[in-house]
Amino acid sequence: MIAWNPAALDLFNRHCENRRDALLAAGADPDEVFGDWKTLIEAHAAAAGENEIATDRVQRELIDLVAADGGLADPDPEPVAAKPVRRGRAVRAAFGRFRTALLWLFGVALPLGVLAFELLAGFCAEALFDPIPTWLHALLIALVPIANAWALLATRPQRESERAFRIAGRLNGIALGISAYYALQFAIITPFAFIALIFGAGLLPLAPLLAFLSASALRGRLVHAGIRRPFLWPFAGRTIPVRPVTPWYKTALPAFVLLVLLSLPRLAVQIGIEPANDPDPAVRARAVWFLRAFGSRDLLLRKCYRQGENADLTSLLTQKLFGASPTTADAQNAYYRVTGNPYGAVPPPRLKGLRGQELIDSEWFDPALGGDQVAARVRGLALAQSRLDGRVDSASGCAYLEWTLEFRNASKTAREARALIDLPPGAVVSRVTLWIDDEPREAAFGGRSQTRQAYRQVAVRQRRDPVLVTTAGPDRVLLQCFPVPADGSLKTRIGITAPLLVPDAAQGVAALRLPAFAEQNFGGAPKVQTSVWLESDRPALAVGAGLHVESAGNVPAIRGQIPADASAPAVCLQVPLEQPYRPVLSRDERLPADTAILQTLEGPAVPAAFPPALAVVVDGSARMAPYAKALVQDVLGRIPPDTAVCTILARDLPEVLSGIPSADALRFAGGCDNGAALVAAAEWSATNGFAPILWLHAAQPLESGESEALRQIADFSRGQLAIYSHQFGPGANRIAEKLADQRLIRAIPVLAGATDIVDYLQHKAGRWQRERLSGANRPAGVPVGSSHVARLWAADEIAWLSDPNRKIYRAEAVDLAQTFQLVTPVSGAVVLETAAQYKANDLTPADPATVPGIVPEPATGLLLLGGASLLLALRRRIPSK
Amino acid sequence: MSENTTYIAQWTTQMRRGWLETCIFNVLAHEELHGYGIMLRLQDIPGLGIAEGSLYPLLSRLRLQGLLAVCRVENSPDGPARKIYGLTPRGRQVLALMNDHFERMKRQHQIAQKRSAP
Repeated sequence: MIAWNPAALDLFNRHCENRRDALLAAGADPDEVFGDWKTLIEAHAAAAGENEIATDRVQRELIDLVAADGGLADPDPEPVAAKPVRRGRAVRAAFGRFRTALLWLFGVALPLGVLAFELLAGFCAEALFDPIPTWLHALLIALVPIANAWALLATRPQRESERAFRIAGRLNGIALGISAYYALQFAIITPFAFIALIFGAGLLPLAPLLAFLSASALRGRLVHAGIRRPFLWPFAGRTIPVRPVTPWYKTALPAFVLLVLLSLPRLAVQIGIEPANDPDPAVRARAVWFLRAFGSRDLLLRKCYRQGENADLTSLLTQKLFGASPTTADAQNAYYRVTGNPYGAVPPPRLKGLRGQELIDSEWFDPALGGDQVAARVRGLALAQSRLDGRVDSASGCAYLEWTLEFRNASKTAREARALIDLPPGAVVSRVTLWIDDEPREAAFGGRSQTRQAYRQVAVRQRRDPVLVTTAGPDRVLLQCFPVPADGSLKTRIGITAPLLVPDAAQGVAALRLPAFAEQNFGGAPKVQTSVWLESDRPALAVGAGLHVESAGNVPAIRGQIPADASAPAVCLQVPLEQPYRPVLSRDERLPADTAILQTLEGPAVPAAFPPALAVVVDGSARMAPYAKALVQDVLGRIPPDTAVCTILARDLPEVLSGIPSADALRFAGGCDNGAALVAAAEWSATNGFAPILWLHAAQPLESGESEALRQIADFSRGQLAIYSHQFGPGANRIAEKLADQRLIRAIPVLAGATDIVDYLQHKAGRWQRERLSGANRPAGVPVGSSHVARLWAADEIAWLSDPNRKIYRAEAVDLAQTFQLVTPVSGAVVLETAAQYKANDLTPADPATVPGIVPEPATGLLLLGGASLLLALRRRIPSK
Repeated sequence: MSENTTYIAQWTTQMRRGWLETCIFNVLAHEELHGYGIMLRLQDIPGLGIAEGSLYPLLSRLRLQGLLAVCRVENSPDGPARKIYGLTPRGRQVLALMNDHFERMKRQHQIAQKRSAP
């Protein structure tokens, strides 16, 4: 190794130290370079045959190094330019950084924040329209900020990577498509959003547009950052990017089209609702098919509650192009036709995902308040307690039941409890009680419209404490109680006078079907059982599930728990009937003096026989599907073969089936308006001597568009046309309610099952006959029966007086209903809170002394005394032999 | 003329500085060399001659940037031990990009020339 002269080494070291900063600035390692230089000098000295490196050698070498600039030339020297140019570059650089910051803000932070906000708060979904109806939409929206962030990172000078560029290019295209779609959807409100910006708001609806602009800017950045290649003929001389940006039709267009496809169900719903309510059945059927095929049931359900959600471009276009602006009522009808379920029978729609809140705040809004429909269930309202007390009097062929209901409202707003109650066949409501401040208040009975008007006046406007009970078709009443106070409860009771059914007059058995809910707007019922305690004058022969027979203090009783939900089947019990039945005499102080009601039981007038011709209308709704087998086996299959049968399947368009169809021929879908099929059946009936019509159906929550046609046929049949109906499953029957005044539709009293339907049509059942007798005509030796016989007579009489063919007697019918305190098609019962309210509505509450009760009512004691004295008087008049 | 000469001198200096790294990479792409060997190869290219002393700071910077690496140290029989430089994988990638870019520039230059031709 060659040695260094100390002076030479000192000279070299000093030179090196002088160059240290320059080398550092040039990005080199000074010590490494110094070592290399030292080695170079040593090599040159060795080559020259020198033994020692002297000062002059070092000086020569250093002169060469300095002359060669020591390798310190700036690899990227600043161009020779004037100061203004450098200032321009600085300004451009600052602007570039500012633009990058804006891209981060509007391309990444804002869309990400808006997505999170919408998912959590559902602000846009509630105020304008739901931009994120599915999780797929959320994922697609999330891709926009991800793509923009990726592009920003990929285009940083230090991170130039071909792979990252390629991914960034594809993501950018997708982001463009998605943000363009949403920018268009928000286009209607974009101008307003700009205005709102002045007031410090409006940034949320502008997020899609800003994200789109950011993605566009990033696309340009990607293009310029990427490698370009010359374009060939005919544009030689121009260049196109080699990478990373893919053509828009490969990324942006598919993303846009995907979102359009995802919006098709919404479009279908928007377009299809109105035609689904068209008066023309053919148009209606096509629209219902369209909605079933392409629509979304969830979106349709949302339309049942909200008419809005049309602030987007899609809704605007459908409104302009198709004139589609459906109301919530339209949507509710369409929902039933499409799904077969009334919209109120399913839980209200909720926003998806993290937004667990109900879309419809049923906390404060109940659109059916004070109306005549049960409608949708309301949140927070539940049945808290239910008890059914009663007395079955087989000797009098009747029963009196009291159903006490307590509703509990856990919400923060007063609620109206509504329930449709299936009464025992032929029964009538004879008492209504409401507890106000823990004191029972009896109802006033008046004309139907009079009581309803009073209820609306007091309940809906004054928001006081009334209960209203009105009839809702054959053997049904609608119970309405308002208000069930917020975080409070309401207790009410309805008394029901029911005749015992005698399915076969030849057998000594009578039956009673207990009342049950057919529809309700409150929850809790599946968990709450009705506690039953019925006394009977004779031990029951059979009781339904959940009940048992026992003797309480030598009085036969039927006790137990039965479901209190509309979905539970009705419970029937059987009691022995004296054979042969002995007529009873009933006296009521409301009858004219010296008159009484004689009740007898008559068997079939002629030997039981099936009608020679029968029209059968089978509801084609989806709710009938579970009953198809029973329908064919127990009903249609038991129709005698010599009967002329016309079967009409009530689908979206009525289908006439030849003879008795098989189970395979019965297809059920959606919810079908049975009106058109009933009209067709009525026309067939008219040409076949007004043969009876058997209508087997599920709930009919829609008013039929054919009810006037039916009414017309009924009018001209002059009472000869009869539709015998049986409903499978719970729910309202709006067709029957609408035609209740016509007495056209009669409910078949089904006890054991569908087999009862054919038996009923054979007229095997015993019929109660009640007639008013004056003192001179009263037979001797007839035992005195229950006063409820007189009420049942009054109900029969009211039905006769209010027959549509005897309209002149309607006032008398109302008077009789008021006198006997009965809820009938012409009368209702209402409980008001104060005497002033009764007076204002020209109503008089029932005297507590005259209302029926489970324990022998005050009037009954008088009745028994009266009956005894009457018998004595009759005996005196009979001349002795 | 003197103005033109000055301008061209400045321009070629800038061009040379830019191309120098490319040429070093291209030299090392074929063989690993010590600083002196690199200098000799460069001197074979007209206009790219560089003093060995000037080369070392450049090599040091490129090594720190991870584009070159000292593969080994060789002892010399008539002098001190010498560092043998070679391209790193990243250096090879950068070289490919540089060559690619150069080809485009060459084409652009040709196109520009053709357009300017009468």
